[in-house]
Amino acid sequence: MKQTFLRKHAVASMAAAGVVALVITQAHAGRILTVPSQKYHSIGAAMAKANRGDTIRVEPGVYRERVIMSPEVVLKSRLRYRAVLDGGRHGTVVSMSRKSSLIGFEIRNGTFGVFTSGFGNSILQCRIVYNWQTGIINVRNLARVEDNVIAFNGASGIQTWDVGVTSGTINHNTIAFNGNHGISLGGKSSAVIENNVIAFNYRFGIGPTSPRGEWRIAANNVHGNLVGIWPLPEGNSSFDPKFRAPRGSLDFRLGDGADGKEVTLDHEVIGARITN
Amino acid sequence: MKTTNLRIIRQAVLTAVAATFMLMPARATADGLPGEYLLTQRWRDAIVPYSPLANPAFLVRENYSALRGAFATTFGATFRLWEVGATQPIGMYQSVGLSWVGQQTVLFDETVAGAATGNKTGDMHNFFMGTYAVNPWNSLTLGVNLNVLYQDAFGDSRAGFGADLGLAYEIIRNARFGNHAAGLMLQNAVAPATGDEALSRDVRIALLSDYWEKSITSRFAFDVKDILADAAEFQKFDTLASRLVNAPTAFEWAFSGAVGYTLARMFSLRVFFGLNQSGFDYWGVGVQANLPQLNLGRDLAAGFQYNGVQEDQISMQTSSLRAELDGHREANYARRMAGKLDVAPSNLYQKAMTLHSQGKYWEAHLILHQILNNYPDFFKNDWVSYYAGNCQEMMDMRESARKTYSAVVADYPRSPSAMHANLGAMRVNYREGNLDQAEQLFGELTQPEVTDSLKKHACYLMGQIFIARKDYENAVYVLQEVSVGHPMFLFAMHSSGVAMMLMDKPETAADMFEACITGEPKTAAERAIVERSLLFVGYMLYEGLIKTEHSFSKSVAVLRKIPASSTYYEEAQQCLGWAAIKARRYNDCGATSAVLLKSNNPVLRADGMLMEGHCRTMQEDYEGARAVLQRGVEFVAAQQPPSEDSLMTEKQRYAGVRASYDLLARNVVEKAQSIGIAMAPAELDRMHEEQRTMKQRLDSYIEGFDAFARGAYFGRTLPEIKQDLEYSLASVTWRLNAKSKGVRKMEQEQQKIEQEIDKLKQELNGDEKGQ
Repeated sequence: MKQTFLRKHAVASMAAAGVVALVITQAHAGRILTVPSQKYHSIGAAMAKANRGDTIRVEPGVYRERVIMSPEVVLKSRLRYRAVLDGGRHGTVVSMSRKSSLIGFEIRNGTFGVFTSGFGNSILQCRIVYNWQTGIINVRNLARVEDNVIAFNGASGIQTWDVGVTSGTINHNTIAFNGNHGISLGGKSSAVIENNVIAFNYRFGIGPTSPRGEWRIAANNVHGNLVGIWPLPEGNSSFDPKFRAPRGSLDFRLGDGADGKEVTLDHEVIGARITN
Repeated sequence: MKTTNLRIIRQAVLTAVAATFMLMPARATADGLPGEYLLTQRWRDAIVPYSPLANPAFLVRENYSALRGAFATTFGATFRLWEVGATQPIGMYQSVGLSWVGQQTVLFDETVAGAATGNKTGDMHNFFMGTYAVNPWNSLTLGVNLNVLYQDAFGDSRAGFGADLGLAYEIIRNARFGNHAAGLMLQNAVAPATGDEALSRDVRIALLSDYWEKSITSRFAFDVKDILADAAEFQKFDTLASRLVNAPTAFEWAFSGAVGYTLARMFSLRVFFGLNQSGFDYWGVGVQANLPQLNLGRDLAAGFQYNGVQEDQISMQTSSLRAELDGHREANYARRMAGKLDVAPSNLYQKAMTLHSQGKYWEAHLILHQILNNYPDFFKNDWVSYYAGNCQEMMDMRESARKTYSAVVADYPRSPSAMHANLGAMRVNYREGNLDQAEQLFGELTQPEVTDSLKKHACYLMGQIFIARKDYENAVYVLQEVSVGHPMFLFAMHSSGVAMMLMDKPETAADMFEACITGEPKTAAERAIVERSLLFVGYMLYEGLIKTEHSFSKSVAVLRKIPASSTYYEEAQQCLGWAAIKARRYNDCGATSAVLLKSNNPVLRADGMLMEGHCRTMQEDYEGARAVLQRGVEFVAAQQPPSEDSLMTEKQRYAGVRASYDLLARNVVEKAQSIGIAMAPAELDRMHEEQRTMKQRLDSYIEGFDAFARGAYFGRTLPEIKQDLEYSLASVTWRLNAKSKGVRKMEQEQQKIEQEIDKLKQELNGDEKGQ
């Protein structure tokens, strides 16, 4: 009987996923604003003119500005990691609103890389490095944090506080070489943390600074961090990810035999799915 | 070099033996400059990166509240030096600190003119620092120490005030080439002066570096000492001339360095050294153990260092401790931001939860929608939505509840609230008779990520669905999944018992009911289900369905456990009444029938009349029995007995009310979504009144259906009772008639006897007259 239920559930889930994808596609079917262009010299200028559903497409280059995202706007680098947002060593480089998406940027040199608290935000395929404190500060609504490289930040890769799991997850990220924890869960955080590589962070891989939350931590490779007194949650593993050239060219692709496909929940490459 | 204070020399001469010890350590620790123990890094090398004494601007690098301490002794503990301090980060870009640095000799016996006074004396320096550091722009940090010097040199106490200035710049952060910060400090920029002597000024340039996740650390500093000094102060005592003469001045500098290696982020080894204008000055080696595992990932370090001074061939040992406390800057920032965002909705949420727990679902529902409208980013909106659905469910607004639950699953698919919403939707679907949809949701609720508790809730509902489909075996199978201690356990056991009864397995059913009865009910619903199980077991024992000794008396004992406050009290009394008749306990029977005669249930009321009639008949009160039974027959004749047809009619009426109620529910949700509570209180009050009225009607329908179902299961129908009443009435009437015939015959006999007696009397009287 349970087999029948499982099959039914799988079909229902696929149908639901299709509906969600359709809704997202429709929601983002707005204008495309290109930066830089004659009309928009900076991301901030484009953001000021963007309406809900618009996409700001950013050409390669270094943009020394701190961006405050408007609701339901997609901010996308045309080429992955080639548009660089530089925070000038102070402040938060990107502050997200609600239902906004940040895709493909390198975000560096701020006090914080990204701050997100609103519902339905997504941070996808970004490289968040060399921020003086934290890569991503996430409070209240857990964002969808997926396929990012979060490394060499002065404090934690991701710091959460009182996040509730709604639609977001921390999924398929590479979180390495950060100066504090890989992921620091603060307050009553309830996070879903799956399929990540969390390696070589100075303190704990996942630092539960407060044991009050409910977490779903599974299928992560937690390796080379400070060994805590708590055992790794069941369902996670630890093996050397053999990053190709993390210090030189920030190349966090996994070495031979370390793709972890056998341990991830979706049988895809563990950590950020970097294709080039 | 500056001349030594004459007062010190005088007192040192007085303590000639002690002076021998004193002068050597003084060189070892202070090189003779006033306040040299503050300038040199060597004796507190382990805590230099965290000390405002090295540069107040570096305090911004501290991310935690921290305590530090270093304690050094030299030369058989003749001299003691210490630094203790606390640092407190403020926000992201500021720090403050308090420090106490001290130098103290051992205490000596005070002597005056070679004679001991009996007092103790010594040389003690206390240096207190208040530090403020700020990172105002880019990677530039500024810092200042405000200092108080208090010294007690062999009984002569003096105090002075001063300040240090520092700045720092984070040069580079690079994964390959390391992280580097440079610092510039003017120590004693305002030099504390005690009497005619001020502490010497020092300019220090430093470079702090770490490489590869701090596995290697280094620190280099170059000091130019005693700047801005007055040349006149550079004098020496010419013993031949017996006077002070000018001494040649010199550029005095020091270069210090330390390089450390940390193994496994816990154990570190450090070597350090110092050079000055005279050449090699000192060397040292230090070890440190840091166990952040024991301190939630914060430093908890203890160290020891040994250093030797080249010129004096002496050594010094320093112990150091450092502990970080409280939260990291980033965590404090995140907490502050989280707090700022949600004060208002958090308060509303708490209010709504309180109302929900008090059963005030209408009020809670409106507040929950207010949160959803006004605070769309509130981090608990997944639960807000769920509880809005739950309020609708509790108010029996089934269609709205189902929609709200679906929205929770769609909007917050990864939230635990989605699972609860699925369960709520399953409940609603089951109540509505949408068994297939309910079963589909059961499939969702058996996924691995669903908590066991929710799974068991779902199993209970699935058991009910199987019972509704008359698939009793599967019903019992899933109901057994609900384990002891689960909130649904008693309900699952009761339902299992019912399923077993329906499979005609009374013995097993009795075991299930027994499991329910022996549970510990905590809520009103649990108490009700236990009482329902008691009723079932009581009936089964009364009817002899359970093979056991003394089943009749056990039945009475079980039924008497159902309290007068119970919904099932009257039905229990009905059974007890008939049991009393069987046992010829007519007083008990009278008491129970009196209860039934007050019942609103026409079947029970009619049965009460029948029972009383029986009771009176057995007590030969035929007239009374006939009166009661006559009333019973008339009462039953006036009733419309519930039939399948009438039930269908009632169901149609119920469906009509249900449709109106759903419409009202939609209006309520729309109102709640579009306006605030305070905007239209009158309209909301009117809707609330309407909601209450309709809910009462729905509840009465549902109670009626339940009573019908129970009556069909155990009880008798009104026509059956009517038959019994009529039979009993006829029987009593016959008895009464039979009694009347006997009396008339006796009266006739009596009359006949009396007539004969009269006749005899008359005959006797006639005989007397004839004589």
